[in-house]
Amino acid sequence: MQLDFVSIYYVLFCLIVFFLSRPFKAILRPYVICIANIVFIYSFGIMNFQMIGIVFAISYLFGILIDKLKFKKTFLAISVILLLYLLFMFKYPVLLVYDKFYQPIGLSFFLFKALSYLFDVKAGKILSVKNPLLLFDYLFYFPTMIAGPINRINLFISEIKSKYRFDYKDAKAGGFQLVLGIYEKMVICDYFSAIVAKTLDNPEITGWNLLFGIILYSFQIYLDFDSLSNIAIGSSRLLGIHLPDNFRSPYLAINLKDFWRRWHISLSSWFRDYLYIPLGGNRKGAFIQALNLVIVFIASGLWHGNTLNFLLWGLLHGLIQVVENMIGALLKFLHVGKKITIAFSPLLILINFTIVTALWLIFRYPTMGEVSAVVQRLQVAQPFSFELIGMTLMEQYWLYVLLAIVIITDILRYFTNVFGWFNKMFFPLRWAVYFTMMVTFMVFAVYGKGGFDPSDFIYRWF
Amino acid sequence: MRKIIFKLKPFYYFISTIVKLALVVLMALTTFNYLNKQPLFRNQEVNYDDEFFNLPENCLDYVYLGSSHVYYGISPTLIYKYSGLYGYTKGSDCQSFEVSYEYLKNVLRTQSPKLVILDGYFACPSREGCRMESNYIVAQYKLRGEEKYNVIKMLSEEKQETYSNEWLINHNNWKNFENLETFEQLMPQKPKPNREFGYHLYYAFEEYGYAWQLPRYSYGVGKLDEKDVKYLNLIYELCKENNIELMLTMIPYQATKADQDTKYALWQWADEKGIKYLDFFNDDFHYFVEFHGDTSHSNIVGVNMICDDLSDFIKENYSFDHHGTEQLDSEYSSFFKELARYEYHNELDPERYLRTLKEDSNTYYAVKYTAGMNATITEERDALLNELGINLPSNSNYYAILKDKKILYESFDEPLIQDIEGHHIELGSDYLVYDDDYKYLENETGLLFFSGNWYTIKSIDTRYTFWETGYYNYQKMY
Repeated sequence: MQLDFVSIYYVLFCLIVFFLSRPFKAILRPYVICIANIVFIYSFGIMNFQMIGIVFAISYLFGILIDKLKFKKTFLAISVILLLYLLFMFKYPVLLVYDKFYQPIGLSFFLFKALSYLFDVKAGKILSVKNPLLLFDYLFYFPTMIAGPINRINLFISEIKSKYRFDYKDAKAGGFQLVLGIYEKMVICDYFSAIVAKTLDNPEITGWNLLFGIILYSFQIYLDFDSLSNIAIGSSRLLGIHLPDNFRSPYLAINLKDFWRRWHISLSSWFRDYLYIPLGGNRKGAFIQALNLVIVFIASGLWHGNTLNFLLWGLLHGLIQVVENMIGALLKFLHVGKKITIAFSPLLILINFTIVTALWLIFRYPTMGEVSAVVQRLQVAQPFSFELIGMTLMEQYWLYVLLAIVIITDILRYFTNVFGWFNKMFFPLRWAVYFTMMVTFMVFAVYGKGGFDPSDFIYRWF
Repeated sequence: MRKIIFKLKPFYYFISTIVKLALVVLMALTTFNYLNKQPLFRNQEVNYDDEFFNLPENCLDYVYLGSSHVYYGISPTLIYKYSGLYGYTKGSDCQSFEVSYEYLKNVLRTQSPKLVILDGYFACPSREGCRMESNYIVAQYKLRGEEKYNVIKMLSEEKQETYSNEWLINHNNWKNFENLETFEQLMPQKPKPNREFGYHLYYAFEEYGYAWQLPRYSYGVGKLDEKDVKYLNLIYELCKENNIELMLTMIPYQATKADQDTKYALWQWADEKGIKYLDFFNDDFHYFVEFHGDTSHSNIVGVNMICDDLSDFIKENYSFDHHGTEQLDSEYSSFFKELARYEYHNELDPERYLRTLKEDSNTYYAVKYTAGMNATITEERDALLNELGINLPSNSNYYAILKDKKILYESFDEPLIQDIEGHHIELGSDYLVYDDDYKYLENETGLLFFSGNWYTIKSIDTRYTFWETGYYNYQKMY
């Protein structure tokens, strides 16, 4: 029985771990978390432990070697090569030397955590972790196994080892965020996903109807990943361990640079800290900076997938940012940068959203041929009609409601800490919201079999 | 004191959390339970048999178990008419004895009938045409509680998961909810007369079906399936434990020789157990049951004949401490009236039909009488016909068109051909024409009335036809 994020079993599992980890003294908490991690991984299959064991061994051993011995760069290089090889072995099967290797869940995520640990040890930011239990807990921390966020080891270990002080409000906020993530996935994201499938996957849908589907796909991919992050952050907060935010209203970004400060923040900050800055960042002139940007985003594209489309997706993100930087530099030279940004921010947000949405098409399809077919379908005129898409009147109304909820919530998140604000709400009002969410979840969630399979997490197998 | 409060604080939060979680869970379960019962989240195309579960407890005198032969062939309303007993048919498509056993257990949770009647169709080889998976799905809808899940367990694993929580397939019904009319349609409706006490009206007597003459076979004795015997024994034991009489029947249908042979194996089992049975396929071909198109299910005429004979058999062989209640008497009677009024009253109550004609001053009626075919014209019916202006001749065919108790056109022996208000009608000895519709009426006998709403229906609505042949003609033939 898999502990899928969107299942009652996962919620119960989190509650059990919560109740077991809280009363124990700090010294015992790592053991409880370790057992929870093992149980979680085991639920996805015992074969997952194969690669987990290898990654753990490399990380632990090389962490100590890098910390204690000379030739730190050499040891780092060897460990990075080994870990990256493991990562690319599954993305590029030609590298697979032993066909009995089993691709575990969340490989990309815990590998990047391992790499960040080794880089930090090499940089002297942290000492190597002597207690294998703590390293195991960090690398394979169950809320982050499926899809991050890619947290950093120092904060994690300090929290897991800290003297326990139960913060009721914090735990409550965590529980709510966990539930909210599940709600976001099953009520909103899966609903959009069904409509997207009706448009993008139906060759008879063209023109405005297809455009509608493409825009909705943008929302779907955002909500899918944001929901995963909320579930991870919320369930971790229940246990008293704080993970970094992963999304901050990304579609309200005014340019791609801003977008990547708001989208999958843990991954983009990882690339910034461990690839972009070591390459020189913006410290070696505009040309090198542009080159570094392109390299980083190509790497990001390849991290997501092994097709040319992912590479192209990353490359375009990099190139467009280079162009944006050039325009930004020009506007700064003319001393109108800030004024333009403020005055035209709604337009800039719209333009940025359009660019990101267009690039998501490349992300969605494995080949450019399929992307091109979609673009051709876009040019075939078709009046906008929900009936053509295959939606009933009630489905349309519900879509409007959900879109309004998503947009308003995102605007609120842009300006404030929504969870904090919600927690301070007058309690009958808060419980009224809980009740409304409960009822809407029961009625409108996409769940179960019988022809209503919930869509798979898009990011699970990265 | 402060130290105590400080030390107790974590426990307070712990208990507070537990209490709040419990409240949330309770709220969720209550809300879910409430929503689950709303019509919007039910499968609108299935029968949940709410009517049975809303009956007063321990009110039924008998329960009838079996397949579609039972729920199409047995009308508790008609049995009430003939015997005064309260009954219910708990049948489902191709219902196996295993499912009948679950149905019986479910029934006994709220009822304590004196008699359980089990139709033996499922023992027969013809049942091999049944699609059991879909039959189990239909059967479990009419069950609640433990027995429901026992029947769900008979499904494949994947389907078990789905039907264990029907919410999964139905909670999307809101997508089809368009307006208030949809909402009204979804609200629980009073059971229609074509679905009362488990009986489903299958065919109206809209046109002549063919009458199936039961073949005469020299019967062998077949073999019962082991699983069938197991569940027959379980049903028998369950009845015995609860001091219930068990009775078997074989409701008529187009049975093969193999079916008839297996039927005799079933009677052998019944004899061993001392169980009485009523074989509607009796040797002297008492039954001349009217089928309409299909060869498995009776139409209303056949149902009437079966229920009449069954009631006689029950009255002869069983005694009941029948405790009538005003409420149930009123319900059974009102369903009987509805059944009579709802299109088919002519088959059951020709006098009533003729009285309806008397009240109707707007409709044209065509009358066709074939001489020598012995319609059953009782004195009362004769008087009513006279009141309508009809005087049937004794030796010739008669055709007429009447309205508002006045004969507008009539013809003796010769076919009647007439144009009325732009419509063309022809009445002949074995045919009827209305505009472009031609109906060949083979072996028509007796007195027939036809009516149609000539302003809205093109084809002839022959529902208001009746005769009482078949049974009576058969008697005259032998």
